[in-house]
Parts: sequence; structure tokens; C-alpha cells
Amino acid sequence: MAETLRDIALYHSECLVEKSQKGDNHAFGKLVGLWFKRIYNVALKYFGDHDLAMEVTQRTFISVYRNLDSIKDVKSFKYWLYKVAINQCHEEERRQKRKTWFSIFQSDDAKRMEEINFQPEKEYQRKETEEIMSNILKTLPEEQKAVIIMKEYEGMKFREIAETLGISENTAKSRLYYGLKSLRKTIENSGLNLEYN
Amino acid sequence: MGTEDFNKELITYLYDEMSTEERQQFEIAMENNPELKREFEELKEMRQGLAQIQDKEVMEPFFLWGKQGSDSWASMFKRRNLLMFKPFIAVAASFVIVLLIGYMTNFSITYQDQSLYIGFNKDKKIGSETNYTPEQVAQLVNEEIAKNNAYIFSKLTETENNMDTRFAALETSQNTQLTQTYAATDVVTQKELDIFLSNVRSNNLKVLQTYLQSSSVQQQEYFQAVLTEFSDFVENQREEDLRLIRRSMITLQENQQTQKEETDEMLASILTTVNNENN
Repeated sequence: MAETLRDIALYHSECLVEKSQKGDNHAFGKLVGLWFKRIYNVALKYFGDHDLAMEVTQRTFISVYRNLDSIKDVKSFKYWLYKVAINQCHEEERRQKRKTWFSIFQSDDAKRMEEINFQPEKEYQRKETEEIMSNILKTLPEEQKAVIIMKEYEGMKFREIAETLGISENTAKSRLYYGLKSLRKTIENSGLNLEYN
Repeated sequence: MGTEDFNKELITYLYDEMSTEERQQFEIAMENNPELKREFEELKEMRQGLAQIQDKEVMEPFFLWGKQGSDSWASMFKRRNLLMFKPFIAVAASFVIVLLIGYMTNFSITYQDQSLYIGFNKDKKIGSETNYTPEQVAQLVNEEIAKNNAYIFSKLTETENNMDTRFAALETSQNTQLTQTYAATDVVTQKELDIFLSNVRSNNLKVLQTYLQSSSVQQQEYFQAVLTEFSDFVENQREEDLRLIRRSMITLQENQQTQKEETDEMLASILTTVNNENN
């Protein structure tokens, strides 16, 4: 069976998890190095904010470190890691919402979204397509957002997404469908005319 | 197949997770259903949009760098956990400081007789003083007002006396100064007057001299101009007279010539007449 880089990395991860479970901190350091970028990018697409993404990534690895012993099957480490990351994203989003509720002023992100919603022409001229898409993605409900990120950017199969999130494949597909439709609706309502390279 | 099923099939097709057979069937169904095809294109376009969001490079934070054989991870996470509780620790510390300050300053809040008392001395019971009747309060107020009035009156009198003394001294001083000033002013005026008069005289003399000199020069210039003009006038007059004389002479000459001719004619006539009579 031909091994892809992804398979090699996955196998390597499994070895590192086993070593980490035995108390090898250096192996855990390597594990973090292997997955840090991926988890950071998941969080970055979830929030569109570097600081929040870094916070969530760090919380994720702290949680992984604390709960390494709870992993019975090292082959499922990848799904477990994504599950922890997504849960941390959800928790952080709720924390941010509470902060926004207590805050008198709106956050910059909220203002940015208002600009996108109410001044599409101006916003379109000022921002790159990537930033606009990132900002729109942030507005999706957390369930849809998680599925889109795992499918679109992490390249997971529906079966893997279902396993990670503890839902059925059909639910994953449904969330993805409505997530994409919602994105399109937001873009249409904003009057944006995006051109993709 | 219901709408939900179509949607799921569409998503499965969109992400290429169908078997070959399922794929062919779905493509046929899509060819016969323009609405489905349009929706597929829309979702595909959304995927293109999402593909614009690229992964970002990121450095692991320093505290996540593990070291082999050390207990760095545990200690680092503990430190980070402490950082996470930092706001709560800060609030608790602030609360403790407030309590300490309150204790050290004997801060107390007392509710007594439907009144709330806040103060910094718990030993002194507020409200434990003797209660006065309204009449006593009025008497105390009147006594204090009388004392105050007497004090103000004495102060005013004292101030008035001081002011009188100061005014008298000031008046005397000013009178003396004025007298001295007047005296000094008279002397200075006489001297200044002499100087002023001598200045006026010398100035007048200078002005007069300047005027006379200027006038003399002007008169000379005027006289010369008059002489020149008179000379020109005489010359012109002489030329005019000469022209008049010459014209008169010419006229006289012409008259003589005419007279001579008339005389000649008369003589000729007489001669003719005489000749005729002789004949």
C-alpha cells in the first residue's frame, strides 16, 4: 500500500502519542510541532482572528496534554484532536459572546461584519476576497462552521467528520449543505460580486 | 427522493465521495433537472470562494517548546494555568487590599435609628450625643449668631479705625508731595521759559535769515526773468515796428506810384485837350 505524506504523518503522530502517554515530554513537544499549524489554521478559519486562534490552539494542546491517558485507541488521535479543537473553538466563541454582551462597545469584528453587511461596495474595494470570505465564514452557526472547516480545509471524509463530531454522516452533509447555502445567501444579501482566482 | 435526500446527494457529488455508479446516475438526474444543476453550480462557486482562504504559517509559542528529559511541559502548563487565573487573582487581591485599608482606618457602616452612618472611627458612636430640644437649638443658634455679630462688629470697628489712620497718613503724605511738586514745577518753568524764548528767538532769526536769503535769490531770479522777458518783448516790438514801417513805406511808395500815374494821365489828358483846342 502506497503511503502518502499524510499517512506517514498520521503514523508518526500515533507513535508520538504512545510515547507521550508513557511520559515522554519531548515526544509530546514533537506532536505539538506536528499538529500546531493545522489546529491553528482550523481555529483561524473559525474566528478569522490570529490572537483567538493562538489562544484556542494553546488551550487545545493543554487539554490534549492533560487528557492523553484517556486516549485508548491511538489511531483515533486525529479525530480526537479535532474534536478537542472544535470544542475549544465553541467554548471560546461563547466566551467572546459573553464578553461582547458585557462590553458597551462592539468588537472590531462585529463592526467589520456590519461594514460587510451594510457597505458592500466600500468593503469590497478595501478588502481582499480572502478576508471577506473569512469574515463571512465566521458568521455561520458553529455546527455548520465546524463541518465546513473540517471538510473544506482539513480534507476529512464525511465518515471522519461524523466520527469526530459524534454525529451521523447525513447530519454532517446536511450541515455542510446549509452552511454553503447560508454563505451564498450572505454574499448575495451583501451585494458582493466576488471573483475567484 | 425528497429534497433533503437530493441535498445530501448533491453535497456527496460536490465533494466527490460517490461511487462511479452513483455518480453516473446523479449526473443523468442533474442533466434532466436544470434547477439541480444550477444549485450544483452555486455550491461549486461557494467552494471556490472558500478555497480563497489559505492556510497561514505560524510559529509555536516559546512556552510550548518541549525539552527532552525535563519536566518543562507540566511546569509550563501550570504557569499558563496561573496566567489564566490571573484576572481572578487580581480581583481577589484588590478585595483583600480594600478590606485591609478598611480595617486599618476603622471604617464602619452603621444603621441606627433609620439612618445610615459611614465613617472611619468605630469607637465614636454617632448619634450618642445629647439630644437637644428645638428651643435649646434655637438658643444655641442665637447665641452663636450674637457672638458672631459682636465679633464682626469689633472687627469692622477695628478695620475702620485702621482705615482712618491710614487715610490721614496718606493724605498728609500726598499733600506734602504735591506742595514739593508745585514748588519744583515753578522753578523749572521759569528756567524753561527763558530757554524756550531764547530758542524761539534764535529759531526766528534763523528762519528770517533763511527767508531773506531765499527771497533775495528768488527776487534776483525773478528780476532776471523779467529782464529777459522785457528784452524779448522789446526785440519783438522792434521787429514788429520795423515790419509796420516797411509795410507803410511800401504802401506810401505804391500810393506815390499811383499818384504819379494819375498825374501822368491827367497831364496827358490836359495835353490832349489842349492839342484838340489848338487844332
